[in-house]
Amino acid sequence: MNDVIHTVFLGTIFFVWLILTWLNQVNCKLAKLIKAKDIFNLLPKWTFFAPKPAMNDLHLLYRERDSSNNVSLFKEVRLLKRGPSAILLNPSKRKKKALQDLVRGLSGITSVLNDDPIGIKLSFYYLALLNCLTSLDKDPSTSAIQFVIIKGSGFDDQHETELVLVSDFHNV
Amino acid sequence: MCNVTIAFISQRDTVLGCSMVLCISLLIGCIELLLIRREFTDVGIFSWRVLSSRLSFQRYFKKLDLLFSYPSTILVIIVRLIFALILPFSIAQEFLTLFVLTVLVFTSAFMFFRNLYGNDGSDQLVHIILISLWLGYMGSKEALDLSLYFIALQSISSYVIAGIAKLFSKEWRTGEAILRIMSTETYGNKTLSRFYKNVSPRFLCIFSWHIILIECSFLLVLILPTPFNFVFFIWGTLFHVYNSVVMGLNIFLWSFLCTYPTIVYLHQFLH
Repeated sequence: MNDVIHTVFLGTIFFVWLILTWLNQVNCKLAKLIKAKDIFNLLPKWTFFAPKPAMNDLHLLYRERDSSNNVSLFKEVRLLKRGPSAILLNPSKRKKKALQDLVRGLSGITSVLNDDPIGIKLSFYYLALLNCLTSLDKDPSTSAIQFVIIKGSGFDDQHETELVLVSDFHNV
Repeated sequence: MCNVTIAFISQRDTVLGCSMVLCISLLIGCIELLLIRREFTDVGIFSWRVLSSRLSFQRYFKKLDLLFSYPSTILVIIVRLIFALILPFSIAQEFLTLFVLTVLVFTSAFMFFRNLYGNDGSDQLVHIILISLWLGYMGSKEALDLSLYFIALQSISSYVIAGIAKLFSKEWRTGEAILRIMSTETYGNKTLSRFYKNVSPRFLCIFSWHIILIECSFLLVLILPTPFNFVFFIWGTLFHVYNSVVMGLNIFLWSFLCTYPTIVYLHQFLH
């Protein structure tokens, strides 16, 4: 009897889970409301690279300023390029994805909070990126750091690059 | 007359097949995280000090800071790696399987709760498979059947939904999406990008539409009789190998392949 109850209960859970998964693929208010409560990521988004595929690269660049106000040239936060071994192991993909998620998140917030620079600076994405940048190898005389986000078109030189965000200088 | 006999696949074979491939996926995932372990420190991209600031209910988890910080997180990943290795060997003993799955489910939930970004669809599929198997192992044989059917339906849904989403996209319908994705440094490839740029737009359009049509019709894998439905498994494998080699999506291959035995099992149930 217990087994029957468990099976019926489990069947119901799976049924609801599947319906919610399908619902999560649609951009509606209800789906957003449910997804907001999904802290353990039980509801996937199966739309992989569609309908709008990632057609641009977002680049994170930074420059340093020393105590005498000398400013360095911009340097890009470069991640390891994929080699043939990436077919088996691709650890840089995880860092790259995390960085892309943060840059994308900040880029999204920037377009919404365009007139609210304080809101942008206090956003989670901004702080997380700044935290990452402060850990990079820097000149010992560096007293402040500034970053920019640029939207590029990768290997395609027909599309122009676009400046997404320029941060203030932050003391390090 | 085509006369192909396909061997009966038992529930145990299905779980074993699924868990063996799942084990590879989990191992690769854990090794990759261990190779970038520095990112879990306070100055890394997965710094808990920063990540915890995003959670609105962080005050409830303040006491768990030690667990989510470095190096405890690395310890959790090592535990996950060890239990991933044990998983295929535990299938013979139901109680042991349940214990191994419990550890894997909790480490999976831990990682998803902790790392709010940097995860992809393959991590999510593995997470769903682990939870489903775990729930199934808690009950009877019929409960485990249900969990295997659920994994199969999630996998099929992923292909069909991806196909429908592409169908609604102008970039995919014209084939432009393939060229533009290949042109990105993140998922693209310089040589292929140059190749796609030089081929006729009709080729890109046909290439794109073949993906859309096969993904949209993936449900046929349950309807067509064996061995005709195996066309979808062969296509799916080649598709994931291509994505692994060209786009660097290495774990997707193993995460999706591990669901194929469950699709065969569901097909067998339906016929």
